[in-house]
Amino acid sequence: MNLTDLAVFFPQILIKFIALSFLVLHLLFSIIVVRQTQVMTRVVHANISPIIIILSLIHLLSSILVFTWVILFL
Amino acid sequence: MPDIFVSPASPQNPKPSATAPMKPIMEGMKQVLSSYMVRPTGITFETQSDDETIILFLRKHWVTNLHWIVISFILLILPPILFPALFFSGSIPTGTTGQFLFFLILSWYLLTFSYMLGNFLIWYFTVSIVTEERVVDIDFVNLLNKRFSETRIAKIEDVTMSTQGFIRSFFDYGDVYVQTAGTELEFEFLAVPHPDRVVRIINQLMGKEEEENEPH
Repeated sequence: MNLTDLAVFFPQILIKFIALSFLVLHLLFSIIVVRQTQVMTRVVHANISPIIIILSLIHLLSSILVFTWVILFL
Repeated sequence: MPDIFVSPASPQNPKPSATAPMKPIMEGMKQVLSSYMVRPTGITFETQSDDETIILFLRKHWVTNLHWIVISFILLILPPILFPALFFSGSIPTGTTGQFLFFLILSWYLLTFSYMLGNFLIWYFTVSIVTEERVVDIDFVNLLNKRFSETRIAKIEDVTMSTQGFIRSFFDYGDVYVQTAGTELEFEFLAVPHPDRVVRIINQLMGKEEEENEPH
């Protein structure tokens, strides 16, 4: 029985696989956003820079939380 | 028009107020939302030398953000309207679990957050800086591409501006083009507020630079 057959019998496996693939891509994107924000706040520094970095970290944290939720509960 | 060659006067004996602890945060927020700053305080850039003062700090006019703010607002309010409507109309396929619907809503808001943050960061980090010595243009094209270019004031040959259309005229913003000598690239300050003032200030700086370089 290959992966396609499994997906026919267990559609939730296919859904979970697609969801996790999407969330891995989003997680990579979030990491790039954090890195770019850190680099750019060094290029242009303002009093508000720490808040901008915190925003990007909240974005990354959201991505990690949704990823974890999908692994555990979907 | 502000006099760019005079230091801003500091208030004599400032009185402490109840809102004093909030002042740095409010100042910071003002910087976030401001797209036209003359002699900004608390802002520095990477290659700035110790004796170099920022004269102008420019971003795109806030009106240019309206399209993504409106789209974000629609994306934020859509799930509480869309999902109950689908549920009551029986459009949700049978066998769809509550967990799967919850995942869809989570993903929706995650992507909306990414969209908002991405657009905000592109606006926030795309800046044009004019100092006493040079012009710096930082283009944050998208979250993966950025461009940093600069030229000295002495190398600037021509500064032009363009304001086209009703919205740009109404909100007083437009494009400023800074042409440098020879084959060097042209600097574009796109959709910046008060383009006429920007041109005037750069012209003043060019005049000052010429005076300094004239043989005595």
